[in-house]
Amino acid sequence: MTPTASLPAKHQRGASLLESLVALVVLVGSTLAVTHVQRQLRIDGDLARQRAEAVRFGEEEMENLRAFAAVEAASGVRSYAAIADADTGQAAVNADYRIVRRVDAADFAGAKAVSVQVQWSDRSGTAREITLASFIARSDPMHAGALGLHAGTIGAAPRGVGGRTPTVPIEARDLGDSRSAWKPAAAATVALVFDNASGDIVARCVVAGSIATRDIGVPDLASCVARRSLLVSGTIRFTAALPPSPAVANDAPPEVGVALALTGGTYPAAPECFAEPRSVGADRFVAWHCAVAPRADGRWSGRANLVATAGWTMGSSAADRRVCRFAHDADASGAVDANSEHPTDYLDVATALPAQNFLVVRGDAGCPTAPAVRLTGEGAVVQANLGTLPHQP
Amino acid sequence: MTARSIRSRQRGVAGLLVTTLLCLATILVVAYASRHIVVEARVSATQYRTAQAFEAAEAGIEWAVARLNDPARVGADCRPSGDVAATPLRDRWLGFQGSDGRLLPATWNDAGVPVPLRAACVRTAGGWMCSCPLDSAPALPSPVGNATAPAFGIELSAAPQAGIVRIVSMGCTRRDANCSAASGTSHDATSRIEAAFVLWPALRSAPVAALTVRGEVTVGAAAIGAHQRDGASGGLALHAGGAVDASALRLTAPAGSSLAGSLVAADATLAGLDPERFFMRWFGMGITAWRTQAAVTTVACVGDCTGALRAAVDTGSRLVYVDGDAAITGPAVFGTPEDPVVVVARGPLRMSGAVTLHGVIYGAALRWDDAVAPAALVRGATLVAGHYTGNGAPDFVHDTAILERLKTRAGSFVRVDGSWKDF
Repeated sequence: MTPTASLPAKHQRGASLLESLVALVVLVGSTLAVTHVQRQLRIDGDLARQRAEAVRFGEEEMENLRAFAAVEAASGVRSYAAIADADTGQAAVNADYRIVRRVDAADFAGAKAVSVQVQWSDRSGTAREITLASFIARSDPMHAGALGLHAGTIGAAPRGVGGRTPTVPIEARDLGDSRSAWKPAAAATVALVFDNASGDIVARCVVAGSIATRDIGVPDLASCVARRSLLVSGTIRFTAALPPSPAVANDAPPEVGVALALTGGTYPAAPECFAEPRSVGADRFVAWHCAVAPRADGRWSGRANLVATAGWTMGSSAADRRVCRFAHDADASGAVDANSEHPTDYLDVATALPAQNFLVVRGDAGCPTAPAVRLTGEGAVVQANLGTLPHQP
Repeated sequence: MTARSIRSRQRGVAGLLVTTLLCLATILVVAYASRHIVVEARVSATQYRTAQAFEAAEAGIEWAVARLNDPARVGADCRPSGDVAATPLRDRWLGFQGSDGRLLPATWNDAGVPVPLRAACVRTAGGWMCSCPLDSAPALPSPVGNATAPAFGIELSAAPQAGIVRIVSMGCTRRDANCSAASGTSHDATSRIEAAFVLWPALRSAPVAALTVRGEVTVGAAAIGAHQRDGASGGLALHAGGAVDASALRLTAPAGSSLAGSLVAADATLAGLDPERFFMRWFGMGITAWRTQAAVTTVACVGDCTGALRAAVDTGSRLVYVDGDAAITGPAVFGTPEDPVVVVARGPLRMSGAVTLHGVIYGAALRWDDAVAPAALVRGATLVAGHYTGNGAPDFVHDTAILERLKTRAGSFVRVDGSWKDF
């Protein structure tokens, strides 16, 4: 095999140079191509990284602008007012960036149109940029934060005299522990204790008949029974005038009572009602109040009727009296149906009901249906409705 | 085949072939090894477009809440309009359901199908261009060329809770400027963001009296009127922390109720509040925080503020703040029973003549001269942190409906933390 093997080497010796030259050219060409591709890939890779970095800087800048802590300019905190044009530099491993912020007042109040442009030069010296555009609303973060404290959007209970809810009787004595005590009649030996915030009656206590409401203190309350009740109250006015005038009904009231008939379920206790004559100057009327312990669902339904206890009767003759109730369609629903409008029958009352007023007229007179009277106002006139509706008999 | 013929074919080819193959293999190896760079470039470009779409969607949320809080009347291009028939976007977009206080997005009739009103904006070389028509889908020009044109589309949706509305924003990078979820797959990149906003009411607690004065009422023989027709508010017409000196006072109580319950003077609890607490009792926050609400317009005026206040109200502002003293001279009318206003002055208010205001007016003190009812009237509630004086005889009327409207419909929308989602 030795002579045979030596033959090719001998014959190929002359061709090796040409072959080597061609191979060298191919090798050089391919090496250059690979190098170019590699270089381009490096540039593209750099550009990708730079762009990603620029996007990150742009988003960070935008988020920083949104993260203001106050609307108006303030020292030490980011503010909405401070969002303005700016040019800043940002050095990084791959390139040096320039962050250009442009802020335009929007066409409307309450927002700014912001654009953040991040500029840099890539490895080849070509200028590159990315742009992010957005709006930033003028919305005080304090308000959003306050929502977490259950403040702000939750309507607060109305506050009347003494900072209490307005359905607590004005003359009730504040006990200093978020409760108020009140005697429904001057000579009564009963005091009702109210929760100042809700206006609910939270206890019924026994007090001396001689003590006035303004003098009641916690030590004066005895034998208290804690039970939630709701107050329903109003006035009873008498007039013998013909025709009766609901605006001038100041006759001396005879003895009268109020009976509240409950319906619609089982109640823990019978309602307790009080009626007492009052006079303020020439204004004479009977003030009535009932404490109603509601059903298990916290509501009560029923009807309040006057009770002629002595000296007068209800009927339709001139010798009798007719009971009317002040009522009007306050919510313009087309009917006197809301409990606060003083309907014939109350349905599912869940809160205290003040101003459930009655007018007692002669039996042969109809209940006055006076049109609403103008109180004041020009363009949008303010009127008061003194109309009444028949109630008894 | 002879050995010679084999030798002649192999002459010089083997080395070249091997070299070529080696070069190809090198190129393949290099290309394979660099594939991550290609992927990285694509990811980078996608990330950029995604960021643009996200910022556009976020812009939509911010734009929508700013527009909901902007009282200005706007046209179909969403720009302020002088047309008196135009309405603020809040009125255009939202209906208020009175029974349970829910906010319902308005709809338009799309060939018999009720479709929620939408708005859209696209960013052009000249800035943002928007469309918010009343009776059609938004119409914006499609972008030209290959450049990106970030855009967003806005739609409101009802929430089950009272006073809350959800804003849904769709952001995209270009094509189909309406940029809605229903507009297909023609966008380079899209992003969807949704957030809930709650109405922070202009009035947190409705005053129970027509005229509430923390200090004294000193008007002598001036026949001011205080009227309360609503028994549910306790029948209070005039509530003062100090003494009331008003010999010709005209009072109205609910039908059948005693006038004695309509006037309460020298309420020590009311007098004991400092002015800031007095303000907070009704507005739920301090006066400084109140004025930074998005829906509040601050009026700059020196001396007579009548013109500046009227200009603010005429351009749609319903919550107006004066940073100092304010003088209002009649004849002037602010608000209506259906569209009441709130005017808050940090300093004393000096009013004269026939000024009519429907809503709530608040001042550090109030003096009202040369006024005669019925043209001089505040219908709603009046709140005075100091004393009330003056020789005028205006009427103050408590109006429950107006106060309820301010409690449930007026105010600023605030983002509900934790409600934001982009999935």
